[in-house]
Amino acid sequence: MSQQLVQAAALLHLAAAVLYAIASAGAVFALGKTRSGADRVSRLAGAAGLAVHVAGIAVLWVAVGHGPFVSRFENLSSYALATSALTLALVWRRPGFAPVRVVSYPVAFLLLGLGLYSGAGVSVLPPTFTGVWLVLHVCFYFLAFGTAVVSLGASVLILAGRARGRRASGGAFDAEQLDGLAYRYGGLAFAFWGIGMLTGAIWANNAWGRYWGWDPVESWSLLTWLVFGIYLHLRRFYAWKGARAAWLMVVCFALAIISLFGTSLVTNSIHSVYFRS
Amino acid sequence: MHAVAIAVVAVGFLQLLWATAAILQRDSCRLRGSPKERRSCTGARFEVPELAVFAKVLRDQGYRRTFSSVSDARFVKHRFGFLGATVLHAGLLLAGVGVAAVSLTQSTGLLALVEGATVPAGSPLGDPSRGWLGAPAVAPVDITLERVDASFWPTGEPRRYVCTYVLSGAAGWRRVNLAVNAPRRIDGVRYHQENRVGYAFFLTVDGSSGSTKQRLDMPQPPSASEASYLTRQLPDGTVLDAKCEVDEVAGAQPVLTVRLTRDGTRLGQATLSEGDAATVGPYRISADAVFRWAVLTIDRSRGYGILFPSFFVIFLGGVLLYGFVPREVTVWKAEDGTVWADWYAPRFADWYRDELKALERAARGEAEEVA
Repeated sequence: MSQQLVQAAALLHLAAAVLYAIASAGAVFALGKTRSGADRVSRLAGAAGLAVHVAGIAVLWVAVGHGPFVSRFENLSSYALATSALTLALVWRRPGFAPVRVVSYPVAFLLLGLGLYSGAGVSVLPPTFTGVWLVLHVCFYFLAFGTAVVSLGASVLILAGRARGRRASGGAFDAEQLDGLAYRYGGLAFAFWGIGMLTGAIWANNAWGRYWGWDPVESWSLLTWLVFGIYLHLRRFYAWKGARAAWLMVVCFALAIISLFGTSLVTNSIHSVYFRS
Repeated sequence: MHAVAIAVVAVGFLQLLWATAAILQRDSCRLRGSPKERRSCTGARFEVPELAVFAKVLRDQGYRRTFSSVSDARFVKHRFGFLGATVLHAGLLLAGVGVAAVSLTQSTGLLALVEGATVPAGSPLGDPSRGWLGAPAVAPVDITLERVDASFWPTGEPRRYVCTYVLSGAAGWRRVNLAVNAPRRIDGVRYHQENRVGYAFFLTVDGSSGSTKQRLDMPQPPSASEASYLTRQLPDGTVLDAKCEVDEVAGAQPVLTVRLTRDGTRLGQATLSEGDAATVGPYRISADAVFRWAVLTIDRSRGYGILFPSFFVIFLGGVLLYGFVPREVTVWKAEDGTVWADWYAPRFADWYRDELKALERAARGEAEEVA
């Protein structure tokens, strides 16, 4: 029964990935146009993708009996869900920021694709995977990643607009507003990342008997957080903005990718035991 | 290198202290600030109808009056958001103090115990860590591992470990259950059950050079289909490779497979359960007893009471900083009798451009009506 449910969850994830791909294509075609057919397709596909994705995670949860944060598939799915949900919420509240979808939906699609490629299987909770601190730890990292993707999306649009020598959105809003979006979501990513790290320290103290161990994942995570902090301080006190700040956000995001996915795959980390499976 | 790292951290800490003090001064000025201080850094200025009329518009938008005089009035939305940066940096500072306190008073170490064994008070702990002001890493009381209760998933993978210890001291004795991920503080000492448990095989190895006793602490096999491994060198240089397998769900007893090699030549191999004996090459090996073992961490460091609450202060600062961005409006009367409003947001002003436009529209609408 649980194996059948896992298969159903995988199919729902596949459907969500297809919908995110459609939403990505729609977002690209909608660039520079307001209230176009492509924009509508992107909105609908994004919302439908999120709904199907949530259903997929719910089915997986029932099948394995725990939240989606143990295996690689579960983690990638959760990161994709956070990205997609934050994008949808942002575009719903501020339709003018819809162009960030050209980055965030492809990211969600790629994460789901990688997750499905790595295989959806039944995972069990190890003895250390209990308690509210673990749940808070992973949830804040999911949020941090999602907000970082939005900030990256705004930064990439600024850089793309600059490369084309015109406004990134073709008139829907100006680069200054995109810059503000990148700044604010960069700040949120910094805050969520920090809280994720701190709640992780409390969990590690309970689970492993130490709150910090200079484990590769922990060290890279701290480095990423510090660079996000540098990004915010350079913007706040040294008036960094525009392309210069956007490039730094790209660096921040690259570090986030290395911390969350890279170190677990290439180093012997206490965290990698879970992400490798 | 160690001294350089400490110096760098100390400089960083002092910088944080200075920055926090400066931010506190700035934010408290903003929190209390009179309108005159604010006008110099206005974000937008627009004409408004009479103060009383515009005050209602502001109230409807969530602004609250924080100051008023004959000629000025100040309205702020999310006033305590001014303290966001201060609270965030104070939290970081507190976390720094907590880390310093824990590091300086650090006193931690491990005890690897088998069921039924007792470690007397004062025994040195394994893998000790001790800060400059830390107590010696020794067992604080007599500690006996009474029992290890392990539960497993249907796949045979470990689900939960709960160990029962008996702590005996001058004040008497007490039985304590410790589970992984649920440490307990008893008489100022933090006991933490490690995720490291397994089976201890007590072997007698008889060879031509005599008889030796070996205790092999085999880690818990990851699942019913996977084994755990250990390598040990015997006194005569022979290498003993051990493999432990157990199907916990089926209630089976753990099985140990030993293989002996010397100078790269395999001498023999045998599989043993408790009470079994076998001849492996020139040796006679018997498994005399099998008990569960577990590792306990004993921590007498101080400062967690500062460190962990500081995380909540940082969290609060983050919420105030990003979730409650303050916006203020100073309404003032010019010498020619006209009334003006200075709108200001200390951060993310672009984000609230719509709110500013709504205020400007309301001001214009009211002004036309008044006219």
